[in-house]
Amino acid sequence: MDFGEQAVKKALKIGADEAEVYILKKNITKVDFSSEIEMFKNTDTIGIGVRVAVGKKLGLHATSILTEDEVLGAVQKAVNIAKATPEDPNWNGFNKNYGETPVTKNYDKTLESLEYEAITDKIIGGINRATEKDRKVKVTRGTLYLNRGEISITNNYNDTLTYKGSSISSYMMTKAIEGGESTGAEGQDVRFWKDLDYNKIADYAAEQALKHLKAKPIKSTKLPVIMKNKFACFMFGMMIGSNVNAENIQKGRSTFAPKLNTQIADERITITDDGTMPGGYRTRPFDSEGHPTQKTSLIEKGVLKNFLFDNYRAMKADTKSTGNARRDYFQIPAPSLNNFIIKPGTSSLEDMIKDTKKGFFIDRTIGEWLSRPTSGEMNATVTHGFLIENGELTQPVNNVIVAGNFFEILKDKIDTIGSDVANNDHMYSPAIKISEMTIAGK
Amino acid sequence: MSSFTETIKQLEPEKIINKALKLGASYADVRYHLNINEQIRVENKSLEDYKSQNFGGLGLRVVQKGAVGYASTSDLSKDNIDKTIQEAIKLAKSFKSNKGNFADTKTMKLDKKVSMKINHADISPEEKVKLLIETNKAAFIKEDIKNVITVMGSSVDYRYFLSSDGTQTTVEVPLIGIVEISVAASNGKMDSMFHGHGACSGFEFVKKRDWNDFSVDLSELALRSVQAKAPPPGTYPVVVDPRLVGILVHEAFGHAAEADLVFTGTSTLKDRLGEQLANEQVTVIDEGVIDGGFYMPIDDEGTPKGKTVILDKGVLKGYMHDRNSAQVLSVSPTGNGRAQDFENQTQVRMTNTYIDDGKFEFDELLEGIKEGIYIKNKGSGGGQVEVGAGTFTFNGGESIMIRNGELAEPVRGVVISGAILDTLKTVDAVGNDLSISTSFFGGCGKGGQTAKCGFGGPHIRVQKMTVGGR
Repeated sequence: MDFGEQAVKKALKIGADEAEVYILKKNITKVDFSSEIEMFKNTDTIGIGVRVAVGKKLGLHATSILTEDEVLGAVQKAVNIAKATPEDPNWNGFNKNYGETPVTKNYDKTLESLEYEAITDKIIGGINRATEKDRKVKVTRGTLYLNRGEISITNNYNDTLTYKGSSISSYMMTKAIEGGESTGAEGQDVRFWKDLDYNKIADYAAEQALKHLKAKPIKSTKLPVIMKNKFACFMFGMMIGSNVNAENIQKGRSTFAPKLNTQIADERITITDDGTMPGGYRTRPFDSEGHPTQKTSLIEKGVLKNFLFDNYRAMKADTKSTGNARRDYFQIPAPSLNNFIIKPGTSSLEDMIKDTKKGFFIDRTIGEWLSRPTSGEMNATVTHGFLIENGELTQPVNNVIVAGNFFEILKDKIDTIGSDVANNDHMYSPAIKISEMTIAGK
Repeated sequence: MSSFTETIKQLEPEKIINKALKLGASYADVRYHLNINEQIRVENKSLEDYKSQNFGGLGLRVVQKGAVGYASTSDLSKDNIDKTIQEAIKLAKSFKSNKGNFADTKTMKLDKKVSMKINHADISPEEKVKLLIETNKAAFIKEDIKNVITVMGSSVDYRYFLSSDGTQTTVEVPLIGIVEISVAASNGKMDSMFHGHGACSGFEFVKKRDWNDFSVDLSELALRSVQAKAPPPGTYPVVVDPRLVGILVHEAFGHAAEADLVFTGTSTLKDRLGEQLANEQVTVIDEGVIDGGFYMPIDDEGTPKGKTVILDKGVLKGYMHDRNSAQVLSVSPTGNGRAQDFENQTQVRMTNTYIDDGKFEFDELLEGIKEGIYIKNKGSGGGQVEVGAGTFTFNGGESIMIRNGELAEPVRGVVISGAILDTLKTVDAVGNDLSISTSFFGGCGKGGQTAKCGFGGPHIRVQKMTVGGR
């Protein structure tokens, strides 16, 4: 029995003009660890979201309870909500253009038969690695998520589409335990079990803690700043992602709104959103509304090229969806980044540091998410940074606030774009050197 | 409730426990959890989103040779439950651990609930949407108000617990709340203010408040704030309002007193029991049931949650515990073993954590401050803490300068930061106006799980706080 198509039929029968059913089957295996395994769990949840339209009135009800009565009850509730709410004058129907783009490397089948012992072995290996080479560090907290999901979507205009995806996300925190106290952390987001490298994670987390034993704030100043690749991923991804989002454009929350086809960035900046990139963290054949995914140019040699749309926002703007709808089963879709990719330059990180007479290197921060994409006010509290002097990392630095205006940086203060692309979740960037930022310290 | 009790009957939880024991578990507990919830969002006078959800499923915890395995499923067919039992056992067998050693507790049968005068579900969607649209419209008091978002959330949370020790509990908690964001723009500057109210209650909570007044008040705040100047960055004596005191105590201090973080060495409070950590006026309590707070009479391990004194007159008295951490330190569990939902295992979590009442009137707190700031939570947008180092940074909301012992001109929201233990030592006066609140929307994050909590305290005075502009 196919719950999805059955639910759509039922919705039309009891008064809906349109209906869409989104089903997520997810399996999560999660390990929490410190210097030993703390918790180990496996969870299977099926979620069904029913969206209906009665004319231009909309309703959504979702359930995780998988009985026929409950699913049909969910349809009834969605229809009741729709009938009771005001019209949305902009409503133009569910997606009529279902389709799939062939994608590769987004599902690791080996996870289906992976033994629990293999998982704990790999983690214990990581914990041991952190303390190897006589490192005086302790693993204080860590998490490993193995996610597998199958998404099915159907509506009254189209047959069911289905795909499977997997993701693996890990994180390890350490504390140096000799001569003062300092912390370190590192993580990795990958698609395949074989790509998860606990040696690399453990080495980085351990070394970071050790290198920061003597960290201290520096005096307030202005300096050239090298953003580590994973930090650049987040900052550029958040700031640009928010401003190219069609929902923000249409609600007056984007400063990019009037700037299509104008120069908003340094000529060396080229950024794409690509839902089809082989092995990308958010690669998928179709989006959360069944629209095929695609590669969309966001910024080409500094010129703003496109915004990112879901079906609803595209209809409102009289254009086509870019395949960027994203939702969980209990939410309505909204535009969101697929894989956000900054085109790398040619300088290695080593060369970028070597070419810096005096500067600052950002490794890890907190509070960076409090930056404001609308105004471009960017700030982050650096917990792990370094002073760069005569081409070398010297004094470790903590507890300073790095600030600047992101739009100015993007246009006039890009010094060097590195070549060492890494991903932070679905965002891909090399290290980027900014010619000047403000550092608030002592 | 009827579908909840019926489902439990059909599940035959005793049989699930017995199967787990037969497969080799030395201990097992089963949780069935159902959360019926709804969220309605209105933006700039029109309905943006109306969604509702029934979220339910079963989780099973087993212990095998000291290791804990946990498996959950939302598919409650017999075959699938059998598979879930086997997965939990397999997980427990796959590693070595002693986290499954639990302190003894009294076995009991307990049913607890907050009664609703008006069930959320009995109010029609039309009425709720109408109320929210009116509330939202009321916020547009001037052209300078550019954007207003109003959201109502409501839920009823049902939890069933049965353990192989014989403890069986049910807890039923309704939760409801409204939050609003008002954005004002003036002279090329923009500022947004956030506020809300919530409670463990039926829809009567919404009915007894004037939400138009609430909206007008928030927009007036946004208009004032966009005009106000930021104070020069520096160190000030400050008076902090109850909501911000609550958040500060929870985030920057409470987490460090969670026993699991103490064991792993993450917490700054390791090995400090009996130490004078704060001024003797400061008593910090974690309590399961208290007026205005989140209702948590029993935790998700079947342990009743009473009143836990963490700091007594500034002295560190104890940590918050689940059954495992209590066993390790040979103390009684404090009822702090909490899980977000059936998909998650319990962890040591706070419930309602607050600074207890002191003796000072609000005016007395201001006395003697030559130049300082009264920092309020209203309008505020969050913060972050490094538990390892005990450092915090928060955005305050509307704030008012204190000059010569009196409230003076308003200033823009400020960023405060510091180290919590230093800050607690410089608290030199605690007010007598304890107030605790909870929220449908807020919550506390830890280990990838969110838990509903209550926050609060009286007004307090801190001699020295680092204040940055924005």
